[in-house]
Amino acid sequence: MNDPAKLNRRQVLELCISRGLLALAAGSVLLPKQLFAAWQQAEQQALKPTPHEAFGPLFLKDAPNQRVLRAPGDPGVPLKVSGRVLNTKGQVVEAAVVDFWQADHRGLYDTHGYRYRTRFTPGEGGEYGIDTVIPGHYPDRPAQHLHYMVAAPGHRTLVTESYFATDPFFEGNIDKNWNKQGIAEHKEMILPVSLFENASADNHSMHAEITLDIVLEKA
Amino acid sequence: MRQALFFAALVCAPLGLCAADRTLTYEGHPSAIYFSPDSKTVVAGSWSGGIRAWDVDSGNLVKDKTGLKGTFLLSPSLYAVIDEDNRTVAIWNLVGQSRVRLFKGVDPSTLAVSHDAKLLAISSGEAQTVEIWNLATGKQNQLVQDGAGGAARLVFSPNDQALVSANYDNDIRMWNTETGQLFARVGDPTGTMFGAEFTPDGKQLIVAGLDETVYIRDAKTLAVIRQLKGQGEAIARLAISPDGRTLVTSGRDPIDARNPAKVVIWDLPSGEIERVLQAAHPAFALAFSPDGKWLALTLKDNQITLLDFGAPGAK
Repeated sequence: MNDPAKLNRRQVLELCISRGLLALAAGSVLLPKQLFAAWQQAEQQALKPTPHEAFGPLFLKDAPNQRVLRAPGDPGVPLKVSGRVLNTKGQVVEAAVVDFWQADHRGLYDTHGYRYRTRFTPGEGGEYGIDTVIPGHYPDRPAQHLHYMVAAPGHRTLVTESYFATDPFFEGNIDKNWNKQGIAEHKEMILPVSLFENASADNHSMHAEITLDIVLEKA
Repeated sequence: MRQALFFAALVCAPLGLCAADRTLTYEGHPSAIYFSPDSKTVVAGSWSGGIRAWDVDSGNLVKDKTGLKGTFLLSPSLYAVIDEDNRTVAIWNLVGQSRVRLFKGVDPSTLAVSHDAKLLAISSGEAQTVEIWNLATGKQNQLVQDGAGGAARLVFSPNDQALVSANYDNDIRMWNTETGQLFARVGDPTGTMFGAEFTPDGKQLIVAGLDETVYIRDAKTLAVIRQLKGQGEAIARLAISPDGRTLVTSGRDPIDARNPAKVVIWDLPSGEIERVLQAAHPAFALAFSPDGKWLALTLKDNQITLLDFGAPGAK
């Protein structure tokens, strides 16, 4: 890394631009030294750890390693969940283990078996992908959600949930309703949902996709 | 008429109860019930329904603390007020109406107080720890590492030397309350164990939960000695009679609330089911009176049933 004392203002700005920090620099009255410190700090904590959400009572350990949870013919909107497991520096976390569990399209969990449950290690680049369905609603927990527990050596085990920005529960206004009934604890865990048409000559079905990069903190 | 006591002729028949059983009215669903050590008072509490206590013989309401939010009844004489927004837990004495301790920076998944009322255990799911505090001095005795999910149930052994956490990550851990040493940890449960109680002699730990089976475990090693099957639904709580002969489990299908909830009364030595009672909701609060005469539980909305188990000491 270059010595900050040897960088002139232009060089620092260039670095910031390259690191996506222009927003910080623009309109600010930061001195180059301060700007550099901000950049350095940002480098060290490039990514915010994924926040904790409730664990819920319906976890089952030792789920099978499976990426396709949606069996042929399963009702419900097909959903692809993908992302990477990273540390706060944006590096791939080695030997991470992801437990993922959710309700089926009716909002019901399988507690006698492992339907819509999986436990796996992400692939190269920390990437993971799960083929599933959008979970349904059930009375005790009216917002649709997915559960994650992610453990890795040297890192704090993360327990979290993601929610769906498309869920009618949020009444189309995430800013206002994100914490409705105290269910979601962090607004950022309400994820945007992309919808795609699987168009073929005689079949115009849809599927949904969400992306969640899971960022673990050091233990 | 909150203090009304009904000799439950009307509810006895449909619920299969006997004539000596009683009901007490409680608005809401109690999450904890305790009897006083002399068995003369029964106390119930819930998160938002406040705390009420009744004289068992007369059914008269002797304590009525409503308007509280975040209450968690810890014993017949202590309760916690949990402020989730400000991350505080205040421990109050029910009898003297005095605040015993205030803990800051805590977000408990559950709490428990030792039988001698000297120790308070606080499980934090987010911190993945259990803190053991000395209530008299306000000092933290131990901080132990628990699983990722937080405790579904914390329970002290009868002599208060051991603390058990049944974690939402399915594992059960047991520590020495004095030293924090991990006595035992088992990873064999297949589902969260919502109910965990020591037998009165302290030799066994009985746990039950999501996988619908009752596990009788050795209280030292936590190894499974015996299993009881027959509830046929997830088990929410359990209670053991003071003579160690009767086990009561309450449950419901945790997924589909349309299925009825049941309370199963087991003869513990034989492992056979003695009675099955239908309930509107799973009884999250179950308690035997120390003299063994009463089992307090919730079978219907807005009331607590006292089941008559016969003359004290007899069964």
